[in-house]
Parts: sequence; structure tokens; C-alpha cells
Amino acid sequence: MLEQGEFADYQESFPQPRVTQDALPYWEGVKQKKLLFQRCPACHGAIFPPRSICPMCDAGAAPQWEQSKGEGEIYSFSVVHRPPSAVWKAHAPYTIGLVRLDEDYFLFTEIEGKPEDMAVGKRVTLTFPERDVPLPTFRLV
Amino acid sequence: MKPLDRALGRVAAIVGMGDAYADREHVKDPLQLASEASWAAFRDAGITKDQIDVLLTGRAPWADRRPQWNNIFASHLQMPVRMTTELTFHGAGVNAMIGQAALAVASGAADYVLCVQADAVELFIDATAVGAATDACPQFEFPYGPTIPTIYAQLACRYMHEFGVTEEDFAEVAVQRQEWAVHHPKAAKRKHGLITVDDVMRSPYISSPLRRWMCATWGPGGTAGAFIVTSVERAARAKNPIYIRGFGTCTTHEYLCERINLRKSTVPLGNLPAITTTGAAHAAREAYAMADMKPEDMDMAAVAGNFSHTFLVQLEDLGFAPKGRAMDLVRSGRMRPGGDFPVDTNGGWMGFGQPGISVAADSLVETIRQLRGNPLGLKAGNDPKTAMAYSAGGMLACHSTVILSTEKA
Repeated sequence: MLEQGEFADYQESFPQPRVTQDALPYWEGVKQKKLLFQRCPACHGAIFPPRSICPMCDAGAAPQWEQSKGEGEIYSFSVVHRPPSAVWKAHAPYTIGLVRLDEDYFLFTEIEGKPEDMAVGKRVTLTFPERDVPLPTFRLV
Repeated sequence: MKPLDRALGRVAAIVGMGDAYADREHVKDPLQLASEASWAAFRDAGITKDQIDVLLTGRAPWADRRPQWNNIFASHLQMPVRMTTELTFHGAGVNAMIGQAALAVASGAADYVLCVQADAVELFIDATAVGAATDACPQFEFPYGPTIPTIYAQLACRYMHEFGVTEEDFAEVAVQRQEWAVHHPKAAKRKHGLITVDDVMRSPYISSPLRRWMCATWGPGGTAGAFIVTSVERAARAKNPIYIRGFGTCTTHEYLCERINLRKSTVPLGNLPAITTTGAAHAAREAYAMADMKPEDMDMAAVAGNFSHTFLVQLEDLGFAPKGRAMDLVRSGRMRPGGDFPVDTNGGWMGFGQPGISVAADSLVETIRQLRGNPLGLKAGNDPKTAMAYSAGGMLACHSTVILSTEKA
């Protein structure tokens, strides 16, 4: 039988990203307030999340890192009114959405701005707010 | 992907079914629920547990997440078997037990397969905390603080944007689900009685545009469903066989951040990038082809609508409505009590609720009970002979269909 306490870590602190080896350069970029993504040298497609081999074509090529300009538009969004755990309560309501970057890939991210101002297609720009856990977020332009 | 052999729609049948339920007054854990349901299924099939060759389960219950839970359960029953495994692609794995059991029977690996799933989330763990921690990408999603509704709401947002569907439409879906749920003695939302569109629109946002009544609830406390699968030849001697006429499965991703970045697919998902068509469309096509049937041949359906908008998207992907037009089917009233195409007659995942991963077994239980004419809740008014049972799992990720019929192929 599982106890409530099994999820104590989740209840008491903001979650840290579970970093994969493929994504080490991405998180190094976040430390420097840069948004990095990968591109395939064979098919030239933008790749996200990061991989060691391009999944979008059959070349089997190793992706190359590029810096995003951090500009894009809202593809979808949802305003979180009932957060997942206690640590998020003071932050709510906050907006989480899919942002389509101009380099033509998508991030699942937070979008800062008034909930009533959110709309599909609105332009957003990259920001790195001061937080316990550094993350790239976006704000309405 | 290679098409499945259509002959597989003529090889196997469900000859025993058992269900079990728990609540705060009758606390049972997954081992107890699965035991009760399995013994009911053995008795229904007229067999003993020693005749089981293969045991299948879905993934470990949230209320008891020990790895190899399937083997723990085989051991718990003192039931040595040739093979046991979990089908671990979220809730779809539970529905897919039936097709995989048919394969085991067709291959000669088993005379009898026990498929069983139990869970009891409300009684044993903090469901709010476990949800997104399991289903959000732990690297690129979970650190932003989403809940499961937040992830699903991305589809709701796109569905409204692309097809002009409104929150009031989502409210109407909830109203109709509740019309079935109020009649089912185990439904989690039964106690609330009938609701109106205004009631739904007055309920608070969980994660916009999803309001509380547009979301599945946790509960009932616990459930289990057990199914005995054998050959159609052995089924001829069974008292109330349900024939497995078709099945199909498809999984397209694990996390939403992977799905939205998918740019090509061997299964049709619309013009990528897009999320408003799911792998359910492929899973359904496979099942219809195997059964040599069309969506119109289904007398009823059980879908996996954990939210109003997923209910609509699934109806479309399963072939019951054109893309973006499922609200027409809702408004027709055909899926309501008394309608000629009853859907989710136990109230579905929204009205009956989600006891955990066993919610997908509950849909199978409800389908088989309706086909046999002995539902616990309201009886389908159209004397159904053939049904589509579908389950989804993960964040729009995993899909499994099975076409069940009282009539042999």
C-alpha cells in the first residue's frame, strides 16, 4: 500500500528537470539565458526535444545545435487555476501553452501575461524569469 | 505498418467476465479487487484457475505500483502460468489485453487467457500529485507546473480554435454523460444528480477551457475487471460468449512535447504538425477491417472520454462523426439514454469516474454487461449486439480498440 508521503518531494519544492544526456547543451544554454535547439544537417529540420540521431529523416545524422531567436506565436494555451501541488498555489493562475518558434519547432512552456489577453496566434518572446528553477518562458509581445 | 491478419477476428471469444468494486465503506486494495473479479470470471466461464495458461494485465495499478504487478498477482492466486506480462502503454494496454489474448489463443500458446486489471487510487494515494508527475515530460513539461488537465487542455484549445466548438458545447457533453451516470450504482458522480449546461458553466475552471464538470473525476474508490479469453470452438460450449470480432492498437508518442514536434507519421494524423487527430483513427480502422464492419455497424460504444473534448475527438477518430463535427452527433441525442446509439452507458470516464488505470477495464465490463443484457445501471434501449470498446492512454498517446459481438463471425 502506498502512502501519501511517497510524493513528499513533489509537494514541497518546485520540480527540477530530469536532464537527459542528449539535452545537456540545452540546459547549459539556459544557464546563460540562451535558448538552444537542434537541426539535422541532412534534412535541415528543426529537432526538439534533443536527440543523438535525427528522428525526422533516414540519414541517421547527428543533429547540430543552434541558438533560437526566441520569437514565436501561441499555438495553444491553458490557464492553470488548480495547480498540481502546494508549491504552485502562490503562482496561480498561470498560463501553460505550446509555442511555435519561428525556427519551426514547438516548446511546451509558460506564457506570461494576463489570462484574458491569451489567444492562439499571438506573438510571444523569450524571457528567463528569476526563479528557484531556471527555465525559459515566454511573454506576450 | 503492416495490416493485421483479418482472420484474427474469427478466432477468440470472451467466455467469462467478472467485476469488483470498492469504496470508502468497503475498502479493498488492487490485489483484493483483482482476486474477486478473477474468481467471478472463472465461475462465469465454468473453468478453474488451473486452466489458465497466460495471465495479462495492464500496467501496475497506481494504488500498488510494485513492478511486475502481474507476476505478483499470479503468485497471489497460486496460479503458475506459461507466461504473464503487463501491457504497458497506459490505459490502452488494458483494452489491448483482449486482442493480445486472442493472439495467444490463435498461436496455440494458450487455451485460456486471464486478462485482469484493478486499481483503487482514491483509497490509497494522492491522485492529484501522482498524475502529472507520471504523464508530463519530466524534463521539458513537468517543471512548468502543469496538471494532467493542463496537458489535455492544449487539445481542447486547438479543437475549439480549428472547429469553432465552444465551452457551452463541452458543457452539453458533460450533461449527457451525467444522464447515464445517475443510473449506475457505482458511478462516482451519481450522487450529484442530473445537471444542466448552466451548472457546468458555473463550475470553476480547473485548467481553462476545462471546467470541473468537463473533467473526469477520481473514483469510484476502486474497481477491477477480469476477462477469460478462449477459442471460438471452446466458446461454443460457453453459456454466454462474447466474440472478439476485431481489434487494433496504435501508439504515437509518450509526451505532448514529442507529439507536437512529430512531422511525419506512418499512421494518418492529419496535416502535421497537428494534435486534433489521434492514433485512435488507426486503431479503429484496423479493428473495422478485421471485423469487416463499418462504424455504422456498431450498436453501441464505450469510449475513453476523460474530458468533454476528448470524448468528441474520439467519436470522430473512431469514425462516428466527421472531423470537427462530433457535436452534431451529441446534439442529435442518439447517444443519450433511449437513443439508438448509446455511448458510455455507465456514464463513461467523466460520469462513472476513474478509479485509476482500471477505468479502461470498467469500459469493457460495461460493454460486455450491455451485450449480455445485464448492466448494473441503465440498460441500453436498442438491444445491442455489436459494440466498439475503445481505450486511450497517456497524453493523447496510446489507443486500443476492440469490437465485441454476441454474434459469431
